[in-house]
Amino acid sequence: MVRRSGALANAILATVVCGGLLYAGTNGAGPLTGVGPLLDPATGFWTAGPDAALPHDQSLQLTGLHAQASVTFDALGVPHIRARDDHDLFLALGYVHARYRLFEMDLIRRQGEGRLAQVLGSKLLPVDEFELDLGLSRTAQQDLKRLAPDERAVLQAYADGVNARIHEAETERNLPAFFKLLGYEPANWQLLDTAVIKGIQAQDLAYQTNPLTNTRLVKALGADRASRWFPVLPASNRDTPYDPGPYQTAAAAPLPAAVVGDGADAAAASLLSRTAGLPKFAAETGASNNWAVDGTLTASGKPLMANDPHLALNLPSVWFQVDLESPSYHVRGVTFPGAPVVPIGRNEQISWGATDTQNQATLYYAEKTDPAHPDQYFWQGAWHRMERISYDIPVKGGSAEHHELKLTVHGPILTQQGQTLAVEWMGNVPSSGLGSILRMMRAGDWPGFKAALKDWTSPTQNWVYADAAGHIGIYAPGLYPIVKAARPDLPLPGTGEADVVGTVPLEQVPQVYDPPGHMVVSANQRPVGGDYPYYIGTSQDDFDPGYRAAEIRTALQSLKGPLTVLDVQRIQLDDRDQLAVRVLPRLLGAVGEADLDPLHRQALAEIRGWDGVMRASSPAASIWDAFWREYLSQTFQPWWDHYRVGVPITEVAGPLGGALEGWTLSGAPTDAFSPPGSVSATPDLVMATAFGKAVSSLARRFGSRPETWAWSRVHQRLIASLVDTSLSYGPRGAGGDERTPDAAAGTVSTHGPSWRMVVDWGSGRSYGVYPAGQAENPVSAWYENLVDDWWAGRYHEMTTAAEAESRSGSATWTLQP
Amino acid sequence: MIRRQPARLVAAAGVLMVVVIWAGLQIGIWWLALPASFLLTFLLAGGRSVHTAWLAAAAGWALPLVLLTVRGQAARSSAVLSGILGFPSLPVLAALLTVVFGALLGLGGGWLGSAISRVLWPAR
Repeated sequence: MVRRSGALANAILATVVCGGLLYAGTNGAGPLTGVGPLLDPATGFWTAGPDAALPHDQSLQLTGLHAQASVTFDALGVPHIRARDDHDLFLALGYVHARYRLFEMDLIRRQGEGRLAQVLGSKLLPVDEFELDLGLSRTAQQDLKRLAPDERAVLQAYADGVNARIHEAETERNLPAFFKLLGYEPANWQLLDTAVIKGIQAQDLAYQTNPLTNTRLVKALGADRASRWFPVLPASNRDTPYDPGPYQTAAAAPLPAAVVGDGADAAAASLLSRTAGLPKFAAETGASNNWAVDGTLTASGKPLMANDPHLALNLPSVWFQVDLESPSYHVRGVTFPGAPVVPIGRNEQISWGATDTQNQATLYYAEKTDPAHPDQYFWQGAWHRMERISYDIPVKGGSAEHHELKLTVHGPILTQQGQTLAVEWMGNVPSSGLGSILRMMRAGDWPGFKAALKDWTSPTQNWVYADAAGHIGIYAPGLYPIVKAARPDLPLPGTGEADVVGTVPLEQVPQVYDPPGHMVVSANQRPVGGDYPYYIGTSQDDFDPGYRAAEIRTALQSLKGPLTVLDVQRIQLDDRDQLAVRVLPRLLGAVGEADLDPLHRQALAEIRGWDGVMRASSPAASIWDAFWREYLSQTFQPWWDHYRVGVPITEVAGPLGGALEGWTLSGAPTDAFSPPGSVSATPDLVMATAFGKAVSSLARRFGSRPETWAWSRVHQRLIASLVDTSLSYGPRGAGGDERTPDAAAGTVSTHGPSWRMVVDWGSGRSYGVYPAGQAENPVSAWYENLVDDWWAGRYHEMTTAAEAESRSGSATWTLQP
Repeated sequence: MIRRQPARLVAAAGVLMVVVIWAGLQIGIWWLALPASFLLTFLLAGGRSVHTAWLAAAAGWALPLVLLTVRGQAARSSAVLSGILGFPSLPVLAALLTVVFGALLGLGGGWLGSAISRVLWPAR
C-alpha cells in the first residue's frame, strides 16, 4: 500500500514537472516566444545560422517574373539587380528587400498601422493608439488612389516580390530569426504597407510638436520674452540661406501678439507627454547635410555632389543600398526597406539627395466645444458633429483594446485635456509622393527633376541636384501652409478664422539653380532670407541654428585649389564646431588668467589655440562642451526656475544657444543676464563663472589633469539595435557634436550621418557608406560589416552590375520565371 | 521486481527515438521528445530506459546543432542567442541550453512514462 502510494506520488510529481516543461516551452516571457519553439534547433532561432549564409552563384525560381533577371551581390552585400522590364526589376527588389530586411519592414509597417502591441505586448498600446489617431493608414489609403497606373504597378510588383519571399521562407521554415524570437509570422505585404512606410518617414521628419513646446514657453516666459529668445529669424541663421532672394513679393508681416491660457498649457503638456514615448525609426532630431559645387570649383571641371542624411543610427539601418537596372531605370543609391524607390542616389545623367527642410508643417487647432453640444465643435458659425472612427487593437497576451478617435475638419483630436486639440499635419495630405520619387529616378535634367517633384507634399525636403551637364541646384517643394491672421507657432483657434488658406506657390518655394557662388549648401538651416514673403517657421526647433551650413560653406571656400572627391569626403567628416570657433576668442578674453588656480589655468591653456575641432582625442573639446552647457545653464536656469518653465533647457538648447551667441558676440542689449531675483551680470562675468564651474565639474569626473580629458571620454556614439541591446554597436568614444557637419548630438549620440554619399560627375563615379550592413540577421557577415569603414571615414565605390561582376567576392542569383 | 528489457531492444528504441525527435524538430514539433520518451519508458519499463530516453532526446536536439557546427553556422548563432537571452555572448551557452532543454524534455517524459507504468503495473 505504501509502495503504491509512493508510485502514485511519483507519477503526480512527474506529471507536474512535465506540465511545467511544456508550459515553459510554450509560454514566453514578455514579448518573447516560449523556449521550445525558440530553441528548436531546426526551425527556431538557430535558423539564423543557415539564413546568414552569403549568396553564391545559383539559379532561383521567382514566381511572377516575365523573363529571366539577375541579382549580383558584391562583396559588401550590395545587390545589383538587372531585369528586362520594369515589372521584373521591382519584383526582384521586393524579393531582395524581404530576403534581407523582412523583420525591419514588418516592424515599421506595424508602427505606422498601429499594430505593434499585437506582437510586442501592451506596453506598445500607447504608440498604436497615437499612430491610429494620427492616421498614417488612412492617408496611405488615399495616397494609393493618387498613384498613376504605372506607379501602382511598380508597388504591386514590389509587393509580389516581398510576398514571394515570405511564402518561400514559410515553406522552408526559415523566416528571419527575429520572428522566431517573438513567435509570429508576417502577413502578406500590401500596397498599403509601402504607402505607410513612406508615411512613417514623413512622420519622423515632419510631424512636429514645437507649437506645443512654444505654448509652454510663451505661457511661462511671456509672449514678448519668448519671441525675443526664440525669434523667427535668429542671428545665427542670417548668413546661411541657400535661397537668399530677391523674392517676388514683399516680406511677410511679423507675427501678431500671442496669448496663452492655462487650458492651452495643460493641453500642450498632455500631448507632449503623449508623444515623448514614440519610437523613432528614422530621425530623432532633424539634421542632414547636402551640397553641390559646380565645375568652376572642382578639379574635374564637373560638379561634385554630397549628401549625408542624419537619421537614427540603427542596426539594421534605415537604409538598404541597391543598384537597379531595367529599360526605364538605371539607379544607384539607397532605399528604405519596404519601398521600391531610391530617395538618395543617382542615375546616369543626374544625382540627387535630401535634407529635411524643417519648415512648420504641423498646425494645432484648439477646437471650441461645449458640454451642451457633446461630440460637436463650433466652426464657421455653426456646430458640427465630430467624425468618429473606432479600432480594435490586438494585444499580445491579452484581449483586443477598443480605441475610438474623433476628428474635426482640421484633423484628428489628439488630446482633450485642458483644451480639445486637433492636428492638421501636412503629412496627412494625400499625395503621390512615391510616384514623385519614381519620376525623379528617371529624370535626366533640372526641368525633369523639378517636374518629377512638383506634386511632392511631405516631408518637405531640400532636394540637392547635380548633373553630368554641369548644373547644380536645390529645390524644396512641399506644403508650406499659409494661415491667415494668426500665430501658427501656437495652437490656432479652431472656429474657422485661422484655417489654412493655401500653401506657398510652387514657384516661390525655396530653390536655387546654378548660383553665382558656384555652390549650394543645405543643412536644415532656414533656407530663405529675412524678407521671404511667407512665414515658414521659427527658430524654436523648426530650423537648425545654421552652424553646420556655415562650417560647410567655410570649408568649401577655404580649400586651396580645385575641389576633389577627397576634399568633399573630408567635409562630411568635419568635426569643427562653428559656435566654438566664434565664441572661443570671447571666452578667452572673459576669463582672467591671473585669478585662476593651477587647474583652471591648465584647462584654459588647453583651449587657447584650439581650432574648434571636436576630435575624439581632444581635451579642449571636452572643456568647450562643458563650458557651453554651463554657460547656457548659468544664463537661463534662473529664469527657468523662477517661471517654472515646463520645457527642459536641454530641449531648446539649440535655439537658445543661437540667441546666446548673438548677445555674447554682438553685445546687443538683453535682459537674459539679469534674471529675476538676481543681480545683473555681464556676459563676461557669466562666461567666467561658467568656465570655472565646467572645469571643476570635469576635474571631479575625470581627475585633475586636463590633458587627459579626451572628448571620447565624455562623448560616445551608439548604433542601437532595433531588437536587443546585446546586438547594438557601441557605445564607443567619438568626435563631433550637434553643431558639426559630422553630427553627433548628445553625450551618447544615437543619430548622425546615416548614409554618406559623394557623386563626382567628372569621373562619373560615386561613393557611399553607411554605419551598419545590408543584412538584419545578426549572425550574418553583412550585419555590421560597414560600420568600421564608416567610422574610419572610408567610402566604397557605388559600382554598376558589370563592375561588381568583375571584382572578387561577387555572387549572382539568376532569377527564373 | 523490475523486469529488465534486453539492452539491444532499449538501444534500438533509443536510436529510433533520436530519429523521431530529429524529424519532429524539422517541422517544428519541439515537444515531441516528451511523448516519445514517455512511450519509450512506458513500454520498456526500467531504470535503463529512462537514461536512454533523456540521452536520446539530448541527441535528437544536438544532432541539428552538430550539423550547423559542421557548416560553421552554429557558433555565431549561439553567441547572438545567448546575448539576447541575457547571458554573456559566448558561443557555447545557447547551444548548451538547447541540448539541456531537449534532455529535460526527454527526462521528464521518461520519468512520467516510467512512473505511470509503475502505478499501472507495480509488479513489472
